[in-house]
Amino acid sequence: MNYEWLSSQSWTVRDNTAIDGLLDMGDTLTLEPNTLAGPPEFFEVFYTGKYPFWNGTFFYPVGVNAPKITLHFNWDDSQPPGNQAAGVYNDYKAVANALRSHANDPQIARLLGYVQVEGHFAIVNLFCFQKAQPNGNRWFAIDSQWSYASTRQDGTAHGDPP
Amino acid sequence: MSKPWFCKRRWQIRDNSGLDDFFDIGDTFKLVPNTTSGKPSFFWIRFKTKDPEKSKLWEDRYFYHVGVKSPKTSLKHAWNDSKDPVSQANGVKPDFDREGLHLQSISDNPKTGKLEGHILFEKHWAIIRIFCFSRAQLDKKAWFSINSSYQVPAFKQDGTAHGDPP
Repeated sequence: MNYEWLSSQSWTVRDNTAIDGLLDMGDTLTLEPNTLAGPPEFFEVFYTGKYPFWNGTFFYPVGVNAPKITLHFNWDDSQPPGNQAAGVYNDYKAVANALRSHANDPQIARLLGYVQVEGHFAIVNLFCFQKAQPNGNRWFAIDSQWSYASTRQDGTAHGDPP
Repeated sequence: MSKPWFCKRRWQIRDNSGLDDFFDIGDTFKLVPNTTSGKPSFFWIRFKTKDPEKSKLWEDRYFYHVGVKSPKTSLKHAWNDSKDPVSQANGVKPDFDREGLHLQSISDNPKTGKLEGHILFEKHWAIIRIFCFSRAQLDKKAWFSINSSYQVPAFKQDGTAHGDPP
């Protein structure tokens, strides 16, 4: 997997449904690679927003097969999730759920990291896509698994560049 | 590429202090690469434990080789595999404990080379790191250290265990 394009990219959260204890709408994450000479071994997260526990966390590129997605609509960044045009929210939710279903497959390429929330670790999988939206915008989905048999802070948020 | 050296052997737990909910002394595991052609992208862990509940923790779990620099070890003794941890000769257990703690102290550093995975324990995730070393002991035997970060700020199942080949 080539993750060099991700270097120093910033991402803004556009929908934080289900993991609102981890990310807020409008929060941004920037992924700084450990090296610019060749493929990065890891990325450090620089975060702006409500939850400072993201700062200083690291994500490793892992897995082999990049997941493929098809988004049929553009996300309107000026509108909250509940005000998107008909079909948009469901389109993004369906793709995010499909990615979540792959998150425990070691073959699936993603960025893998951990954050500490309320004394325990959330396993965080980050899926980033170039030109994913019909308008050519990038898009990311961020998936958290925090507690088994609970849906608290378990779910997927997503967004795109600022 | 032939499979990594640490996949060619089974590893045995010699001291499970601090991690006795995960495995027992004498339990063994093997790291199985996902492929034998080319560089493996992850390793399945195949644990053999006597306790079926502990065995479940490790079912279908996998580890990624992450980090940049492999840590170095400086063990000054050889572990006597015929004795339990507290019956080791003077200085041996503290030597191995110190090395395990040192590895735990650097395991959060993303540059530190290690095998990293996670297992589910009592509804939450433990982050597991494994460090394997060839010829690490005074008698040139291989050695591994396995550590867990589970809960902050409590220390339940946070600690280091270690062992070597059977």
